[in-house]
Amino acid sequence: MTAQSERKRSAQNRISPERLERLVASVKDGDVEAFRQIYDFYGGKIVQYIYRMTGSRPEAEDLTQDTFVQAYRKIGSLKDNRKFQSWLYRIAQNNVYQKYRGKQPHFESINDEEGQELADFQKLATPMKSPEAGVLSGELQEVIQKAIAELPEKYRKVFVLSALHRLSYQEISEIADRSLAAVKSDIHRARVAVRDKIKEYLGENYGMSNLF
Amino acid sequence: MECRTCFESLTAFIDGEVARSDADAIQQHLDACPGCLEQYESLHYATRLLDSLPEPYLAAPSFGPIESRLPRAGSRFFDWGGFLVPRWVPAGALATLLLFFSVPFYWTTSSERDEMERMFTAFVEERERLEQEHLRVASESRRVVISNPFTQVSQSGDNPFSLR
Repeated sequence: MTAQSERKRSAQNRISPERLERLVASVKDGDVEAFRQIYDFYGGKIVQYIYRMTGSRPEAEDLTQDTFVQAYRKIGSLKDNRKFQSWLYRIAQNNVYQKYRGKQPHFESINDEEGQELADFQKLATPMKSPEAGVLSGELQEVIQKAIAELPEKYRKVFVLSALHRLSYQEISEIADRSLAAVKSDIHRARVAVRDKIKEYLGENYGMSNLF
Repeated sequence: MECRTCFESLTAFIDGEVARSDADAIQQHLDACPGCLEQYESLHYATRLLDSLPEPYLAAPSFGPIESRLPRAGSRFFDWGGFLVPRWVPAGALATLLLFFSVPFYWTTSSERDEMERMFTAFVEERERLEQEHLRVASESRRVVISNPFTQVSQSGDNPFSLR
C-alpha cells in the first residue's frame, strides 16, 4: 500500500460517509450546528483548494466564506447527499471562475512574512514524513505553487484535486463536468508537468535529479 | 501493451484508478520495459513527494462570519438567486396572478352568460311563435276538411263517383 493511498484512506476515515449523509440531512432541516461540523471538516480543504487555484490568501478566505454560505443556502438543491463533497468543491470552483472570469490569478509567494510564521509553527507541530521533505518542504512548496500557477487552467484544477486533495477520479470528473477518460488524461499530463518542474528544481539546486 | 498506452496510464496506475485487468497488463509491461519502468518510478517518487509535503500554511477562516450570513431557521426570508426575499412573496405573486387572470375571465363568462340568456329567450319566443303558427295552420286545415268538395258534392248529390 502506497503512502498516498494510506493518507487518502485515513482522510476519508475522519468523517464517515454515513455521518456526512446524516449531517447533510440535518443541514437540509436548517441545523446550523450540523453545518458547523461539516465546515470543521471541509473548511480547511476548501480554503486550500481555492488558494491553490487563485494563489491569494485573502481571496481564498473570502471565497471560502462565500462558498459555504452558498452551500447552506442551496443545500436543498442537492439531490444525493452522498455527492456533497463533489458538490461543495464545484461551488468553490464556480466561485473562483466567477471571480477570475477572463483574468489570470496573481500567485503570491507562499513564504511571505505571515506564511513563514505559520510555516515555522507548523514545522514545530508536525513532524515531516521523510528527511528530504523536511529539508525542502518550504522551498518545494514554492516550486509546486509556481508549477501549479503555470499549468493551464483545466490541468491546474485536476492536479490540485487529484495530487493534493486525493479525490477520486470519479469525483473529479463530476466537479469538472468532464468525462472520466478526459480527466484521467489531464491528470496525467498535469502530474508529468509538475514532476518535470520538481525534477528541474531539485537537479539545479541540490543535484538531486538522480532521485527521479 | 504499447509504451505510449502504458505511459499514459501510469498516473492512474499509481493512484489506484485503473481496473484490475489493466493494472495487471501495466505491471507486466513495466516488468519487461526499462524505459517505462523509469517513467513509473519518477512519477511515483514525485507523487510520494507531493503527498508527504504538509498542506499549505493556511487555516480556514472562523465560522462566525459565515454563520452571521446564514439565513435563520424559520426566517421570514429565503434565498432566491442570491437575494433574500420575504417568504410571503411567492404566495402573494401567485394570488396576484390568479386575480389578474380570473377577473377578465369572469367578465368574459358573465357577458357570455347574458348573451346565452338572450339567445334562449329569443329561442323560446320563436318556438312560441312557431307553435301559434302551427295551431293557426292546423285550424285552417280543419276548415279545409270541413269544406271538402266531395262532402259538398255528396251533400249536393253531384258526386261524380256515385254508382247511381
